[in-house]
Amino acid sequence: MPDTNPVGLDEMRALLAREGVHPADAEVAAALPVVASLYEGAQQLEHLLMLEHEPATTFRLPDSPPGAASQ
Amino acid sequence: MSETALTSLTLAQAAEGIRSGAVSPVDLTGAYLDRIAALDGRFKAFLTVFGDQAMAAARAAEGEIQAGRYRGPLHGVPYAIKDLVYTREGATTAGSKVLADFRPGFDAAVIERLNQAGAIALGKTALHEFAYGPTGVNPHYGTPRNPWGADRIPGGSSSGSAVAVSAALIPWAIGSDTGGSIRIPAALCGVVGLKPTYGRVSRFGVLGLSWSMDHVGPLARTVEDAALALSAMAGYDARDPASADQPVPDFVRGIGDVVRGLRVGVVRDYFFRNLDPEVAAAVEAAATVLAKAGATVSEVAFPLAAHSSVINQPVMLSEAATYHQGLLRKHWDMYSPMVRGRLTPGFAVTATMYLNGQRARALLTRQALDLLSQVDVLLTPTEPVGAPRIGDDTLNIEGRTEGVVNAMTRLTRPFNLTGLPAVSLPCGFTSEGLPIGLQLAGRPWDEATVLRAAHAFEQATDWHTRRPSE
Repeated sequence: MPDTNPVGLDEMRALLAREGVHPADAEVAAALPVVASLYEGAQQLEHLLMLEHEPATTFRLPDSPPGAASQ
Repeated sequence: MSETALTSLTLAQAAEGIRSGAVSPVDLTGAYLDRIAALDGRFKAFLTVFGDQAMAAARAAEGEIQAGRYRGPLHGVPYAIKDLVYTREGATTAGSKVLADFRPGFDAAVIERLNQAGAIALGKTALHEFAYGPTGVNPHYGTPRNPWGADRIPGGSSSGSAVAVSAALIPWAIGSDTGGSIRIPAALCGVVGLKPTYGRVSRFGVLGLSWSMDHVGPLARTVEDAALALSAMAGYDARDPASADQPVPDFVRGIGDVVRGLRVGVVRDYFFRNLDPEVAAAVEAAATVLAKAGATVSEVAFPLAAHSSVINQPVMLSEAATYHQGLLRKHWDMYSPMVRGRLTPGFAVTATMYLNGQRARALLTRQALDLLSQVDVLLTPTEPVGAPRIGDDTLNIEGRTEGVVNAMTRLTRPFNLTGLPAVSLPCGFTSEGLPIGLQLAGRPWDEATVLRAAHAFEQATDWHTRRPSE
């Protein structure tokens, strides 16, 4: 886990409140190291993807119409 | 046949007995219900037992078979259902207090298929709360007992399914696998667990966790039994958007074919780091067994697998938080602090983090597919250690301290991110008497080759025949 948290306690509490959940401070604080590792991981991913030029998508149409393989 | 003899049969043996008339589905179902009644107070594998319904279904199956309407190898054979799979009968709790009284009132797609196959649903098995954890420890309903060590975790999240199969309370059971939740408890409890290709088995009516990585599959005593179960479970279903319109082969046909010439790639670069030496030795020995059986064994590199945890984190955290958002708002206090603690950080994932996670998955998958153009199956350990002690949050492996959650999932997760089929099967024991799992993975839709390699290993060894003492 990184030493510093990019998201602080107040910011995390506000973020969770916007999502409609209101944990006790101790639970908000417990989430901060995980969030910090998330930001650290995001930097690693950016580095990993730096040379990646292909279009990426999380949406795709099916390869074949439903039922085609079983016909 | 005695009740002990009946409950010692594998699924394949029971099926052959039923087909030939030597085994009665009513006797078989009754024997398992008696065994559950006698032992499950200790094992805590089941949350619900369908006693009367199961006996009625067994009588109906027996009548059909006697009338010449035999449906196939699952006909009249009992099985158990992880309690996040919807069933018309009873509650579907997902191991949670939030859904303790949730009665969906309909069967999941996979249950519909098993009903058509004439299988006998015997009950619903325990799991990690909402399947969100690899230990199987459950503060609401109790933790299923690992038959190989009462002080050890059973592994999760399909803990009850693995314990029930390991303790011979059921021939086979349904599990689900988002980061290893079929293969982890299978490895720690000494049984076979098969995560099929993403999209192979419909998840309609199965409570989700991280929908781009959720899979449904079987846990069983042997590889052949897992193949039999998968043959009945698999198939296209328009109600699951991830379901693939792929032909479903008979996964048992050809399972015993020779493996001479099969190309097995041992992935040492990531999967053999930070292992208990006893695990490493057992898995190396497994590669030698396959080589002696005629397979061509070579070492391959899968360097991007080392990034699996970082790739997984934004995807799984945000999908799980999204899935639970509504329930979490309404029922915060009914979630355990453990699961709340895993869900809360998911709300901090940004859109760019999530999308980069998905982009990196594409890279990881491409590298895995490149590897699988050079070899037919990949061979790795399933878990770096035998089952950890209940209550331990960290492990010390070869002088390095590691969190239990990361240790349990780091070798299984790459095959959830890539969607590739992967099986775990027993390949030895630690000096403490804890099972060791061998993991074999293969190309998309090629479970048949994975199962053939696994079956060849199983036939050449006797690890799968070892049973825990009662």
